[in-house]
Amino acid sequence: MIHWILETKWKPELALAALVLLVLGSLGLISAGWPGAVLASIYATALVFLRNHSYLAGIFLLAGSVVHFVFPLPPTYGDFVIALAVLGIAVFTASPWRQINALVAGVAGLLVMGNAAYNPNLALPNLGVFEFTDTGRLVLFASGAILALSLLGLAWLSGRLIYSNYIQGEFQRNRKYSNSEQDEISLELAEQGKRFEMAGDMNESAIQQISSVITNAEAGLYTSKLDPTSGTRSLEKILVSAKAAHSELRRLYETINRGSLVSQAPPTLDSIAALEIPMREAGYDLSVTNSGPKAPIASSMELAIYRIVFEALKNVKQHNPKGTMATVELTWFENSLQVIIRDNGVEVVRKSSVGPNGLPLPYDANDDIQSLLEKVVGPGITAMRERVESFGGSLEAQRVVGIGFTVSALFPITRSSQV
Amino acid sequence: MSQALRVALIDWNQNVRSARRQILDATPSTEVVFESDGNVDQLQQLPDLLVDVIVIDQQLEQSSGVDAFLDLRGKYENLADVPPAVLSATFDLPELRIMCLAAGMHELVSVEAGPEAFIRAIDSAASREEITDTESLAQLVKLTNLPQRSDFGFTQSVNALPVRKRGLVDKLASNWSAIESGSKSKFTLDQLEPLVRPLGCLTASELVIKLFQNGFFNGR
Repeated sequence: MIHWILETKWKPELALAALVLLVLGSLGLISAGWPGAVLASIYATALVFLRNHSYLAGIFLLAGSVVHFVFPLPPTYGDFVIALAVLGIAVFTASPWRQINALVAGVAGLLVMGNAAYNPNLALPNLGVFEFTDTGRLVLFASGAILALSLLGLAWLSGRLIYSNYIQGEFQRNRKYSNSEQDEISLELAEQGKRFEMAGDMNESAIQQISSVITNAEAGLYTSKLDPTSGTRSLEKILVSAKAAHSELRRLYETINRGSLVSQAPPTLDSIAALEIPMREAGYDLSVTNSGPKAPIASSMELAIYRIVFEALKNVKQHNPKGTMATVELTWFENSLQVIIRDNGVEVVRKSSVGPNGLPLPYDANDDIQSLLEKVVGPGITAMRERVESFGGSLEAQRVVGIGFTVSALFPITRSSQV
Repeated sequence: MSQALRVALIDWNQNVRSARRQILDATPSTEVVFESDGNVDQLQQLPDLLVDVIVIDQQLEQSSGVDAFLDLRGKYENLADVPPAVLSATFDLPELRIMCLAAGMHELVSVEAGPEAFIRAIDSAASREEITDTESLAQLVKLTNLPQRSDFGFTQSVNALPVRKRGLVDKLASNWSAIESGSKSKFTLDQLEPLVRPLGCLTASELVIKLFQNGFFNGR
């Protein structure tokens, strides 16, 4: 509840104002006629501005108290909203309007009591007061003012108590969470820094070994012109240096890729079919089809295609209900390979929601226009597009109105000449 | 029959050193008379040897090749006795090249340059001819954003030069901004040769860099 209030703008205030208007407005209408309802509505409006445009809250409270003089009205049920407003101000209004509005609310309370005691047009007998002497009015004002200020003070203290117990506590919890997250990031950054330092050292060492390989190879070539047997000696040295360089490079590779499965062979196009099992386990259907004559492609392209399919299927699971059907189509053309990943998530949702006529919810021309005009963006799509473009291909992602989502990637391929 | 060049080979990487030795041994005009991994104690012996060229790698165990050479040149009683030096390195980087020239070394030769360039650099160092020209040096200085460094003794020495010799510095200074902006200059580094030793430098390139760093080319 407190989360919803803190994270939602206007809605909580409007809900509170509506409730107050309904309850106290009705009571005001019954007890004091339509002026009582007007008073409750003005006070309720003040509640709308507790957090945003807080200065308006004070103005409406003051306006409500002035209504007492205009109509004239004795203290009514609606005046309890002043205390409610003070409670809200103490909890939600930021300084300095918190203090200013609290003072204004106090003044409004005093005005209500002053009006009750001194307004000559007010029918005091309604309040059970029959003596119209100055002392009687003073006593009425003084006791009413003490009562009003005590009530407002109580509301203020309660509000501050709620603030310190809940909201501050919430902030502290958020802060602790942020701190722990920050600690984790710092730790990860420190680890990465160390890893880069190690990688730098290894890189330096590998460069030295490669320099040795080059220098020995060149020395071998240079001296073999004079002494052909020196070539063998050079080759032995080159082998030693090359092995050392390879070992350094392997260490470097493992250091940089620590945390990922470096020893595992990278996925290929054949690995895409294996994605059906985890998809089905998660409650989604997947079918993978191949058409056209296959051609050998670079392993890096196979890996890129696998990653795009994997990412697209992850999106299917994230954004669609269980029961959604996804298809992966690999179509081999003469000079290109097209990869299309479709889902029918929107259709599943539409079919499961019944419209007023008992049929599945229809879609209209607006949906059509929206899907045509909408530009699908996001870090996942951008990463997919960059992967495809790095091979000179292109990627399109779009909503299919009433059906779902489609990602289409086109990779250029070169077929080896027929023998 | 001309005498072979006596070469001192200093490199921390034993494999690279032996490959370079192999190249030098296979070259009739050179003879390796000193070999070291850069150990300071071993380098102390160099001034007592009659070495024609020092080949020193930038990566040594205890210091960099440039720093080791600067230490080494201080060990010689006369500047004229310091043998010309060739700095070897993995890559030919502008920053390293300017450091090499500023230290009074003759040339920087990288691994990728190959054995012929390596031998050429040694031959050229032995002949003590400047390998760069004024324009290239000015471009290198500009490219590397060489910082100004005030050397009071050097400034005093330049100001105390006889008018005729000082005129050479003024001539270069007045042409510097044009040379730096790419104009072809008639001023050659060889013209500075009479000033090199009197101003405590080993090469004309070192002298130009020192003049630049001490602000002699500013505001002309």
